[in-house]
Amino acid sequence: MLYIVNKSSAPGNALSECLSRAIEGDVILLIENAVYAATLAEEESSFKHLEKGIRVAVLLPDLTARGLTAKQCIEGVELVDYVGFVELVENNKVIRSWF
Amino acid sequence: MVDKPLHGNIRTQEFIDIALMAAAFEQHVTLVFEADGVYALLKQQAPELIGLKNASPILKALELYDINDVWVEEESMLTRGVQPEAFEIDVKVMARQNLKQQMLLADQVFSF
Repeated sequence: MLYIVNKSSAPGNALSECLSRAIEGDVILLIENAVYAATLAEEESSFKHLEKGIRVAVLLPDLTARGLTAKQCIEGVELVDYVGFVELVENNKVIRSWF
Repeated sequence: MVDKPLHGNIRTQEFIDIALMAAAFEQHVTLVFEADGVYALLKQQAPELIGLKNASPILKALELYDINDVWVEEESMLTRGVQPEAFEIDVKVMARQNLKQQMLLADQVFSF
């Protein structure tokens, strides 16, 4: 079999890069396809070694749009709607997007 | 914040163009290279071999536009085995923690 790969390994992945820089007091909001990360089994979860004091939120409309529910999300994840999204933007002076 | 290589994706080139434009309008711009963005700084890139235009000269333009704060995250360099001597331009190497402190002082943070 031939495997053809066009992406490098985990470093460079938006979520893992973000997680290695987040510190206490930071909030990580998962939107679009990043919502899948909140639903992975615990042993596969990027958040299993999450530092204390880092909040993880998921944009509910993006979750619902993908046929997923809040029940499938790992424990401790906050669900936000668009109003909640705006509130997070308001409450954080510095915002960085990861693609 | 530049976190992608210079070739193989138009984002970084477009982003640096935007930074140059902002500097031309007398905005104080700091460019930070981290994660795979450190690869963007490597000299002797030959994207012509894969049919792409060489975008490396754009890095030389930073100084001309008075973008003198070019910072690179130390941890990203270490992970990728990249040294500042291999870079096309002079940069300031900064630890992740210091970069975070600096980011908190910025009016706006942009990434593409």
